[in-house]
Amino acid sequence: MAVYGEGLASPPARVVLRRRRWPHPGVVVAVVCLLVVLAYPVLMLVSSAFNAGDPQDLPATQYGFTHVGELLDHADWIRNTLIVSLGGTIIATAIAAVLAWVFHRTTVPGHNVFETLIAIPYPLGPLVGGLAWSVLGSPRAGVINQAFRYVSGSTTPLINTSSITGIVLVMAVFEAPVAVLMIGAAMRRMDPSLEECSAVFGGGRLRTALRVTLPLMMPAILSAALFVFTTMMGSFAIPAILGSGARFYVATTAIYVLFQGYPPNYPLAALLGLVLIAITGAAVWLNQHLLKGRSFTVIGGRGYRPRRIDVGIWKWPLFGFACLYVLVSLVLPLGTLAIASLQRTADIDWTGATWTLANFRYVLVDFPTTRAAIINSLLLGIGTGTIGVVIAALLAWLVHRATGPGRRFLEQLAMLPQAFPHLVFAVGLLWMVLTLPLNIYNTLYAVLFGYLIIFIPLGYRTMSGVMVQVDQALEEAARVSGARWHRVMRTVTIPLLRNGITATWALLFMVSVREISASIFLSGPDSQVLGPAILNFWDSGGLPRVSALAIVQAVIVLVMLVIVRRLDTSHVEA
Amino acid sequence: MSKPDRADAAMTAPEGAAAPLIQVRNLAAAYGTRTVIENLSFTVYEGEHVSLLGPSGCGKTTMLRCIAGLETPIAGDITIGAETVFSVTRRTNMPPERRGLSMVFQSYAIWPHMTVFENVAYGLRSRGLRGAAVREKVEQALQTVGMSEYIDRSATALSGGQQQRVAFARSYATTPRAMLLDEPLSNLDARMRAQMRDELKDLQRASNLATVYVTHDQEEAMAMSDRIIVMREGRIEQVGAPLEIYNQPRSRFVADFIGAANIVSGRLAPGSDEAGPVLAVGDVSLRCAPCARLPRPREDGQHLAAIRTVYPEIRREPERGVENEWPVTVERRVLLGDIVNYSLSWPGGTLRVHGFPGRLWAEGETAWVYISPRHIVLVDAD
Repeated sequence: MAVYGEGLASPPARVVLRRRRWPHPGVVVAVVCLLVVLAYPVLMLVSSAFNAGDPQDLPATQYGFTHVGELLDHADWIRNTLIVSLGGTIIATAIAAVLAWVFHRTTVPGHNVFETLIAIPYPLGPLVGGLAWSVLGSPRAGVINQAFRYVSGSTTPLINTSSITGIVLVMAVFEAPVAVLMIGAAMRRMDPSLEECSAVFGGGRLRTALRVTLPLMMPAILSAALFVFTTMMGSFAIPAILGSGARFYVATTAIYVLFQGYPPNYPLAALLGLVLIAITGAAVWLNQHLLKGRSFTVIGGRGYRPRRIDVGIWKWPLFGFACLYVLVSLVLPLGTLAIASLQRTADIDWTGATWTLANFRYVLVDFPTTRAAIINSLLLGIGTGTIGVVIAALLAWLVHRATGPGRRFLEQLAMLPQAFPHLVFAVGLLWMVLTLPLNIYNTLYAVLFGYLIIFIPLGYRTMSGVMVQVDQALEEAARVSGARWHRVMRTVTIPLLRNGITATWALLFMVSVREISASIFLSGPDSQVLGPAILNFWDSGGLPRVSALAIVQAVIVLVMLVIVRRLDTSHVEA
Repeated sequence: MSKPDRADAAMTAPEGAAAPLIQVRNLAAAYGTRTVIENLSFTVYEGEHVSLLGPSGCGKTTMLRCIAGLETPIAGDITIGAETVFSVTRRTNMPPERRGLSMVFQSYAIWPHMTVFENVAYGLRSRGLRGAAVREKVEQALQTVGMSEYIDRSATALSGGQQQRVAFARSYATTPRAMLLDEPLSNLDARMRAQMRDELKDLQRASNLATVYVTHDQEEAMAMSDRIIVMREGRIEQVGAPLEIYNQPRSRFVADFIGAANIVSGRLAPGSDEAGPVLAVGDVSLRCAPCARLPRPREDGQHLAAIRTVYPEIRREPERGVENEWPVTVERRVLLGDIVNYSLSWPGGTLRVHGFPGRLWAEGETAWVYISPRHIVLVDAD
């Protein structure tokens, strides 16, 4: 049974003989811990936002609305954020809905290859896309525009990725893959006989797609759109790279600038952050409101392969669209960065005559800052993966396997950070680190702490997706056979979840290595990590070197991706 | 008896039948390299109710989906009415939406994003009907299945049985050329299934619509059909009226799959022929029902006979002193409620017999058993 329009499958039905009146102690501990690490940063933000005294005070000593007026002067930041996020969400979701339908429901060739390729841009992250498209599409120096001027003799650029439209399109292209995965998963879960039935009752291809498939997919599409919107509200790398030249600010880049300015304007940054949280919160509420009564429970049919729709003459245009998407989201960006990383100067030599690996030597060996950033990011990836898996597994176990009340609340709490834009949350976490007597600021522990909390929703969701698939009776059988809790975990639960644990670990590793929005606040001078290092390097290091560093990051992520795929298939074969 | 003969039997009309409606000729279907249907031919006549019956994996659902146009066969052709909807040689493959059929899916396939009315109206609207005509037909169809008061309900608010009724209404509303049913009752619990089966039977009687009914449940097939096509591993095993298939199973497979039967093996007595075959089983000589042609023996040369467990009669004393009467001992008695299962120790081996609670035999009791020769049917070995 699959429930549509919900990110998570419900826990399996259970027989409760005697309803437990008190929450499981583990649930209590988890709820308290989550409340502390979620509420503390948000309270710090609130405190700073309404700070009427010394702007540097943390927490504030005097409260007032002095900075609210300042915020109104900068309403364009919020307007820009909304334009970029709404526009990007609409385009990304539209692209994703079409691609998911093409890959899962039509006879357009190559869907297996496309599905594999579409999984790559997400772990690579927006930094790669932003960098590459700034090289490809900037109005004057952009590679595509130079080529266009050369071929056509025109003086106006063909594309401009520094414009609002450009930023919206680049963001849409790089956020679409997650939506493809989310909508595609819902399409796989859909009972194929619902579509077949439409055909038998006289519904043609178009009618079936519009009257049956699309409405049935609407909850999944809305959920994907919400996810994309929330991500875009907090997205930093692409507007920072593409928008800074034209002094185009969205809320996230504005917050960064307010922090970097002298003196830093913390209250305004915090206020802006709260506005972002309020908007994403409203979006979550709206989404739930829209989905009310539309979560379609569908009884799974038998294991018939879904009949793919023969789209006739549309086959090749749709194939071309998928190819274009892969070109724009993957081939062009990676290719551009790869070639740029081999250059001696910022002028790109396409012939290969003067290509060199010196830039890689520079970022990997010679330059201590980037070398340290690479090592730090690897360490953080391993740390976040390992500790994050334990946290995710414990949370998933408590929600799906423990008895007693409070489990629903725990789940909602675990998913709550999803509504916080990473960058804003990182500001709160930074202040938490600074005000607590921990003395870990400017160490990797501060970054690790931030990553672990920020990625709780991702880890929890992946882990519980695996846990609900394991029949609880298998654990109960072990209990009946006389095994205690830790023995059940060691001999039954963990071995059964091994694949899910590996996948969660790898996912957390990849998102940590590519993280940037939170890292720019959490990492200090002595705890540099890859994302901020690439961004700083982009300001100062020159195109070839920054490309080399970005390629290093991409290779780390891609190697992990390949290892995970290998593990997956070898396990299936075993 | 060879396979083509069976295919011929499948093509012959039942008594007093109308014109052929669906004709399937030499059809083959495969998933990848695995063949699921081989050289299958049969005909469904106007107004006729045909069941495709067989164990899971026998190709019956694939056959139905081929008729609907949801699966593309690799050989053969399908004609509906005068129209060839699929033909490999003529390169015809009409899409399902133009075949003018209706179908009840195993999972009901009630669209959850529509109301009951919209579900039933879907087929009418996609065939171009609009306005009051749609409303009228939908109301009529829902009334037939007793779901009138649910017309504006959301489809997700229905129970399994109600969804099933809506699926029937949707199928009847479009007045299709034929109605296809793919295990429509298998998702219901036992009590509901029996009730829906009877309701469906009444609906069938009330309309003159031809149906093709796929099931693995012999009771459903018996109850719902004018003719049953028993399928096995992508081929037709036997075609006939329900009682004919029950009383004259052609093969060991059919005898086993439909009803409960004792299968006994032995050599044909010297000199016995089709007109009066006598089978030597252990120490006994069984006089069997006459047959048109002796069936295929087992590899060791022995012939098989099927004896339905309901037909042997247990008596206190030998009454006739005739053929096919033997002394037996009751070895085991299992009371199931409406019926009682006996295992009898019989000179020919162990004989399973159905009895009734009205006349019980105790374990260890001795008695006589009589089996009428017409209920001992020689069958093809596997």
